[in-house]
Order: sequence, then C-alpha cells, then structure tokens
Amino acid sequence: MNTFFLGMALFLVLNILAGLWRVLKGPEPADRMVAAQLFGTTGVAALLLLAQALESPVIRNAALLFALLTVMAVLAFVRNTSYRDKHNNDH
Amino acid sequence: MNSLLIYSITATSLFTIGLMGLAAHPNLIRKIISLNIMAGGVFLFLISLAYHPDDPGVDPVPQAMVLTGIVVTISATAFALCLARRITEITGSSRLEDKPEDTDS
Amino acid sequence: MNLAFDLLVGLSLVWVAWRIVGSRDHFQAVVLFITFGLILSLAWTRLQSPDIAIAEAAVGAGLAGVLFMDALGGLSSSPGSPRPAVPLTLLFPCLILASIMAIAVLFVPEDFLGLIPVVHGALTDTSLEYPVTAVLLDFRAYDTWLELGVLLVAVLGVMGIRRIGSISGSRLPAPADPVGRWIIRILLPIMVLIGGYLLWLGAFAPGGAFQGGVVLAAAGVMLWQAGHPSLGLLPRLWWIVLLFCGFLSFLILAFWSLFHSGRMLAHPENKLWILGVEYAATISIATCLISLVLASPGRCRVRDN
Repeated sequence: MNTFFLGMALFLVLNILAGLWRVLKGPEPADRMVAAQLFGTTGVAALLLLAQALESPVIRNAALLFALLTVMAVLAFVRNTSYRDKHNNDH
Repeated sequence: MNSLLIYSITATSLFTIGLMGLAAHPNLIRKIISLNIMAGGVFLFLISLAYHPDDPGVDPVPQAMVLTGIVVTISATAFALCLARRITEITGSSRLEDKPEDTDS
Repeated sequence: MNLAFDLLVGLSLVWVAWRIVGSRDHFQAVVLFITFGLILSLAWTRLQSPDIAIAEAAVGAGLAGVLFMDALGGLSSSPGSPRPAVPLTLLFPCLILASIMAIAVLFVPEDFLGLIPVVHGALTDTSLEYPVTAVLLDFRAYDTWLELGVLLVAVLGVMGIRRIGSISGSRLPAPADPVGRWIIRILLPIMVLIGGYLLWLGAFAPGGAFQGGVVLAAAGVMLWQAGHPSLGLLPRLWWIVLLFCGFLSFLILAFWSLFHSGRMLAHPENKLWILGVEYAATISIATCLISLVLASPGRCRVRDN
C-alpha cells in the first residue's frame, strides 16, 4: 500500500513538471501565477500522500500550511499588478 | 546508488547553479534569487548527510541548523531586497554594471 | 519506488533551478522560485525532516513569494537582458566545481552517524522530549539566541535603509475589498490557531518556536496585505517590546543561570522557564519577520532629505 501512495505522489510530481510548461510558455504573468497556484494544490495532495507513504502524520501540518499560505503570493501579485495598472493610467 | 547519493549530488548541483546565476546576472533580484538557490543546496546537503533511512533516524543537530538557517535566509533576503531597492532609487537602475558596454565579463 | 521518487525529485529540483537561472523574464524566475520551494519541501518530507518541511512551506509559499513580488513591483523598471542569461565561460569552471563536490560526496562513509548518539544520550537531561527542539532551545541555545540577534540586526538594517523609526508609519497596500476582508475573516483565525498549535507541538513532536513564529508572521503579513490597518496602529513602544522580548528572555536566562548554577544558559529544572523562552522567541521571530516585510513595500518611496 505504501508503494501505491508513493507512486501516486510520484505521479503528482510529474503533473507539476507538466504544469511547468505553462509557467515557461505562458505569455502573460497571470498565466504563470495561476500555474504556480495549481502547483500549490498539487503539492498539498503530494504531501498528504507522502504522509501516508512514509507513515508520519506530522507531514500533514506542512500540507495544511501550503493550503493556507499559497494565497499570499497571489495577493502580492494582484496588489502589484493593480498598482502598475493604476500607475500606467495616470501617465 | 542510494538516496544519500541522489540528494547530496542534487544539493551540490543546486549550489553550483546558484553560484553561476549569482555571477551571470547583472540584475539584483536575480542575484538574490540565485543566493536563495545556493542556500537551498546547502540545506539539502546538510540534511542528506543527516538522513539515515533505517534505525537511528535523522540527526537532529543539522535539522536544527537548517531550521535556523531558513529563518536567517528569509531575513537576509528581505534585507538584501531592501538594499537593492535603495540602490535602484539612487542609481535609477536595478542592475549591477560598471559600464553598459562591458557586458561580457 | 523510493529510488524512482528520489531521482524524480532530485532531477526536477536541478531542472527548475537551471530554468530559474536561465530564464530571461524576471517574473518567470520568481514564479519558478516559488515552485522550487514546493519541490524542496517534498524533498524535506522524503528525507524525514518534517520540521524543515513545515518551515519551508511557511517561508517558501508565504513570505518569500510576497517579498519577491513586492521587489519586482518596485524594481521592474529595467527590462530583462536580451543576451543569453548564462555565458559559456562560466559553465566550465562551474561544471568542474560541481564534479569535485560530487566526488567528495562519494567519500562520505556509509555508517557515519553524526551527533545522533550524543543527542539521544543527553535527552534525559532536558525537560523537552523532542530532539530537534531540545537542540534548539537547550543544547545549542547559543545558536538560537544569536539567531534572534541576527533577525534584530536585519530589522535594524532595513529600518536604517528606509529611514523609518517603526512600522507604524508603513503605508498600507491598496485594500483588495471585498476579497481582503473575506480572507481575513476566514483564513486569519485558522492561521493564528495553527501558529499556536505548532508552537505547542514543539515540546514533543515536529514544530516549535521557529515554525510557529513563521506561521504567525505569515498571518501578520496577510493581515497587512488584505489592507487591514491594525498593524500600523501598534504603538512604537509595544512594537519594540515585541521585537526584543525573545533576545531579552535568553539574556535574562543566561544571567540568571550564571549566578545560580555557574554555567550560562543552563536551563532550570522547572519547565516553565524553557516554555517562557520559547514563547518569547516565537513572538520575536514573528514580529521581526513582519517588520522586515512591512518595511519594504512595493511603492512606498521614502523621500530623500
């Protein structure tokens, strides 16, 4: 069963690598940011699977933190882009 | 080929890639990101040496060192970014270059 | 399966780091760096260091992203370099360095146990059950003490560069109503709860002052990001007290133990002492990190005079 969980975690890491294509290609900054948020969700799932595979439940705390805190980068991103738009409109 | 080897070689590669980025990029933010990659490499190296898959577990002293190191790295990053912003305010450019022509060094 | 996972995580770490260094777009590099932190925390998990995975999750996903996004917002005036990012002249020395270090790794003895026996032998002398917390707060208390000093110096440096005396004057970012209000209402109580939970957990399981402090710092930064004015209203005296209380508690402990037992930083038998020091350190770490992020906002220009 542990091998199964680890295999699923491995699959999720492969998913992150596939999603990196959008980060590398994405023409707009917003595309890249959304892809990074998707990794946050995938990372939470991967951490939970690893917690089962390695039989150490405290890892769930790390998954919890990722679920809570990935939104902060988006907040900073939105704040800065809205500033820039306002700044451009002023000129 | 065990996981000690995989992670410690990954760690040394990360350190070198970070060093390369630090030397190659004139932009200050990119230099600071490269420094962070180097720090990640050092941390990974410490933990990969501390990790013993079977009985005794993970050495707590390097773990404590890395834990301290992560918090110090983020504060040093904040300080460095603040310095970078000050440099940009004074010089008007966020790049570290003596002469605009001299791009090859 | 373990080996395949290790290989995949290791290779993706190296590849993402390479792309961070090689990309021409600064914003792309920052997003990739956030991803790098995520993959790194998978590696910590795999190496059975949940403490570091928790700290990395809070720092990499929360604080580092905010810091770099703000820095990009403030500095992105100059466009990315049009030439190839990494010159070839650098590649060969770096390859040689990497191979030397990789060869050095091969000579690490397999049965190298480090300080595990020493720490586990000394665990009976301390009132803490979890070895990492015991190392941080008891065996190597000097390190933690001076680490709090390093945080204070960083805050002083940032304050000096920005020429401000406290964070109470720090301008708030544009309030993202109604999103910010809802984020505060839903996420902030959970974050404070988890910060306290991690702090309490540290005595016997992965967690402790550093993780709790970083999570509380993230909560404070989120409060500020959502446009809530409360952090800016904190009186200067209280801010200084919160900033220094961790360092001072270690100092008091050092003096007290020097006069009572003749050895510096020897913890008394009473568990209350060690808990007091840990809680004060948590508050100081959180306050220092919040001040570091708040003092360097994206568009707040300090007038030169």
